[in-house]
Amino acid sequence: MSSFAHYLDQLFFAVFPFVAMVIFFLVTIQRYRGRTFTFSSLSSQFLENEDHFWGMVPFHFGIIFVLIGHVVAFLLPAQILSWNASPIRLILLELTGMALALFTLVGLLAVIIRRVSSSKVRVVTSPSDWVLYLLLLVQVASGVYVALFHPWGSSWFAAAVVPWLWSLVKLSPNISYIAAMPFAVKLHIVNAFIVIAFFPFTRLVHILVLPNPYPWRKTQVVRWYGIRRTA
Amino acid sequence: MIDVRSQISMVFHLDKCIGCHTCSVACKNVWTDRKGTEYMWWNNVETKPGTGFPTKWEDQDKYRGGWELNSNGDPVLKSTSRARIIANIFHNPHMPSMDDYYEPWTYEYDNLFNAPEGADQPTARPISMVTGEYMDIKAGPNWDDDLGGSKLYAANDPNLEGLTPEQRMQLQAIERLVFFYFPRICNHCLNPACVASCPSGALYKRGEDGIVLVDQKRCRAWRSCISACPYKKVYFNWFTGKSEKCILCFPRLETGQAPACFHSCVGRIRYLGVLLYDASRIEEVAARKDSELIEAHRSMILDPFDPEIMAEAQRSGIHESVIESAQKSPVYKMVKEWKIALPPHIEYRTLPMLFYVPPLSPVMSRKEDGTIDQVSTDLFHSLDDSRVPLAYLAQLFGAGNQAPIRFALEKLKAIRLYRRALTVGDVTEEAAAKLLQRAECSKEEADAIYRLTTLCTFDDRFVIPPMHREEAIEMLQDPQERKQSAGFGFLSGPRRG
Amino acid sequence: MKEFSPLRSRRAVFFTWRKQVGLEAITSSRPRPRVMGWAMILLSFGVLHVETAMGQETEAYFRQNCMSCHTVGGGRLVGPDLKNVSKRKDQEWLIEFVTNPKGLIDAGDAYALAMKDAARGVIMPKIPGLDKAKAAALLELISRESVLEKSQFAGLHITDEPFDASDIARGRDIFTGSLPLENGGASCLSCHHVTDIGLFGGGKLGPDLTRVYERMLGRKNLASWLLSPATATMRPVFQAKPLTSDEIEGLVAYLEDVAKAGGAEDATPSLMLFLLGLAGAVLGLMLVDSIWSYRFRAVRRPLVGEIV
Repeated sequence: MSSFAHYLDQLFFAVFPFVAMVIFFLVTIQRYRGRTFTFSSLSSQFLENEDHFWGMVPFHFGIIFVLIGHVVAFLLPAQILSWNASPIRLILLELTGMALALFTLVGLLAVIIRRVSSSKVRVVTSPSDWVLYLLLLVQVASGVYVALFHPWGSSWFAAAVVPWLWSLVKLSPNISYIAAMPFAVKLHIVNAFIVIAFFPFTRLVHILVLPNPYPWRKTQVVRWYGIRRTA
Repeated sequence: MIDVRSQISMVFHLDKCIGCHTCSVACKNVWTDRKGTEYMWWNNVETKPGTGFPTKWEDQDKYRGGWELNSNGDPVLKSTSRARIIANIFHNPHMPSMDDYYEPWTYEYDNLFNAPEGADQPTARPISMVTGEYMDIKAGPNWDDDLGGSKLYAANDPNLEGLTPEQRMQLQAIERLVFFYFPRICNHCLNPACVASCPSGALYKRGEDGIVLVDQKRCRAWRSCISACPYKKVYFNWFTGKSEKCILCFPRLETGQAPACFHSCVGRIRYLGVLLYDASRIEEVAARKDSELIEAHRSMILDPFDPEIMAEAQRSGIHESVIESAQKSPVYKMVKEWKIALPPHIEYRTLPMLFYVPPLSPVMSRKEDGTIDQVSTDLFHSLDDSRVPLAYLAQLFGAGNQAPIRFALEKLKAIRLYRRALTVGDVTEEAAAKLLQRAECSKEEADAIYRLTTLCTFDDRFVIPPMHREEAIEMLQDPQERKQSAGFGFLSGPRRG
Repeated sequence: MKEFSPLRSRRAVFFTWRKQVGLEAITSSRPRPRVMGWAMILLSFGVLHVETAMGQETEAYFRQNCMSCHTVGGGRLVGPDLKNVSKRKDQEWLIEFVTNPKGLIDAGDAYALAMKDAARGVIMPKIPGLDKAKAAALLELISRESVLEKSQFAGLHITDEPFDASDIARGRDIFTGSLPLENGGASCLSCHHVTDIGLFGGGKLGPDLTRVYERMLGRKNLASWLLSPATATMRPVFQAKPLTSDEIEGLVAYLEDVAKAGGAEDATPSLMLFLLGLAGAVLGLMLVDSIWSYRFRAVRRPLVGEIV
């Protein structure tokens, strides 16, 4: 391994994740406090109502379940490995993952095609949106590629990538776990952190303002300016 | 346990509306001339029968606005619920698109001046105000104004549902057809569906005056309010990604001025004043049967002259001056005392606080085979022969019941004849008195209604309560708090990116 | 000369300026979190704690980096038995060879070339972090171990007898993961394919192991290799979760059997996996379409008879 490659690995897998996280937290907080007005996704459903469905629904449901898969493996790697112990269960998990990944990819492609083809929707698409769609496309496509050409990710992610991620969490990055990973895997990882770093500059911030209090708040909302009373 | 609150409420007298759209234009010029709001008409005037704006907004099978009763008899939103909110948030399945309103446009006026010399007159082609591209205009905010395209638009008015085929034919028949105007703003409902649907809690009702507003900083473009409001009076600003709606010109109200649409109304059809109501009954009333809704809604409105109510109101923090204002309120008289003003589509169960005096349709002749056919030999025909069928008005203002419409129209008709007896004399005073009695209207009441509907001054129509903003600000913060620390800083505009 | 710190001096100037203009009193009531400061601390942690092999104990280092090819007193694997290696060549030569094996071979050193031949052309790789000091420490360790009757690095003893079917079956179960690894490592199937495995084959992150038995030149090497897998990907994973000798035996039996059965290596991705995944995605689309079949499409266009 050349020292230049080693240097790059250090940069991408030991330093950059921290840079990305710092940018993520700083800018997110700054944007929430300083530019609250922009803290949402600019919905274009009003301008185009039909193709919207074929982009939004597959993409969101797909990416949510795929992300849940990553998070579960991150939190419970041992359980994932013991689930995968049976080849049937491994294949079941991988097939589900593959289906969801392709579901997401179809949705994302529909989103991008709609953005390109509808002149009304193009008007409300910012440069940062285009960059974001490109990043997401790279992310989802590289994910599908890795799942297809470097199986079985559900197992080796838990065995080799999760320890690296935890070493990041513990602030002592150990890149030996992933230094020898194939290019597509490295691309998937680095691009993920690029998305995290870019996150607070984009429409992605809408994830952080999910309507969480809705299920338990009172039906009606009343605000009092003068005498305070319970609504 | 009674919970007294005050609400700025409104009455629109439809017999006086001439459909001039001055209100709409006043509102547009004050509030919705910004990018992203071009298509919005916080105030619009529709021709009835007609499909309105957005197209067929009253068809709740399609738009799913308002409330319905679930199997337990509790009111629940038609468009969303706590359980459905997340699943439906990516693609709102009940959201109309701009095409159901219209694509706003302007004209390429520039070309009229700058076109190169040629054989033809230069033209100003329409340009979309969304994309800036040339466009074909397919719809507009008043596309069916004055029954334009009535074979298509008026014929598809969802309110025609309760009508017999014969009545429907009459509405289409030449020289028999009829229309009236239906100006609409946000109803500032007591049980607003938009507020109840907002996942972010951005929409709220102001406690002191009941004005329903959208907190622009908390709005996250989830779009639930657009579908939940059955009147389609919450609009989506496609440029800022925020919902916007009629704010009842609260900055004007707070400085003692009437809202722009009220102020500019040439027909003087609009009335505004405070109502005291019992907020503890909202849910119970919203769950009533259709046939009981109007009466139950009216019974929530409290008598501002009742000493007990006055005491309770003060205990609830309502200022003396607001109670005084409620006693002078023209809305209270028309809605509660005289019962001539009715809520629009109360079957949506949002408990709207904008009421309408239904229109009489006094012209009574029709032409058939070249001869004028008098429908009635009386001076004033029977209400059942009205050109606007009672059944139609009942769909609009009676949740399908004709009784409250009939009551209001009988009273208005009796007052007309009573006034005729006094001024023209071709009706005897005895006959007029008998009619008044049948309409459950005293002479004093008839005089009062006459005065308020015809001779009303600015101050009669708009009884604006003092808003006590000075107190509100002092409640929120100590005026000394910012001493030495404020005076410069940044205020961010409604900009994205 | 006193060290000049731009950061400190600028802050000092700033604080003086604050005092002068009286900003202290105004802003002190609203302390702003020193986010930038924290960010710098976080960042520096990240950089400083990049772990290298430098600080590890020599024994552990030998176990992880040398044992896959060498024993001390256990006979030759890919590389020579290192027992009494310091008696065969002097310290200086050994250190030079270990820190840069290819260098000596390229330079035409006779002994080095002979070693290359003995290893059937396999050249010792350059081990990351192996510098002169480390090499010296290793040689000292080897000398210490050489005088023992049985060194801890004598390697795994693996039988020369033919394996029976039950060994092979057990090895297969270990490979697929149906028999979980005792120390909790991920099953071989996660990353490796062999010719006769399962519906969709094995993993493709690591190399195909169908012919690994031949590549590794037999049982002994393969077993030693498995004792401490030395590739960059496997080392960190199996360092903490090593295979047991029973497991190694089973795996060797299985891999030997597979190699002898003569299957072909296969690097193509599973088309079946892709097609079934695609079918799942299409099913998903049909599902959401039917769940939201009631969704609002348009009101105005159908009314005026435009095609929707």
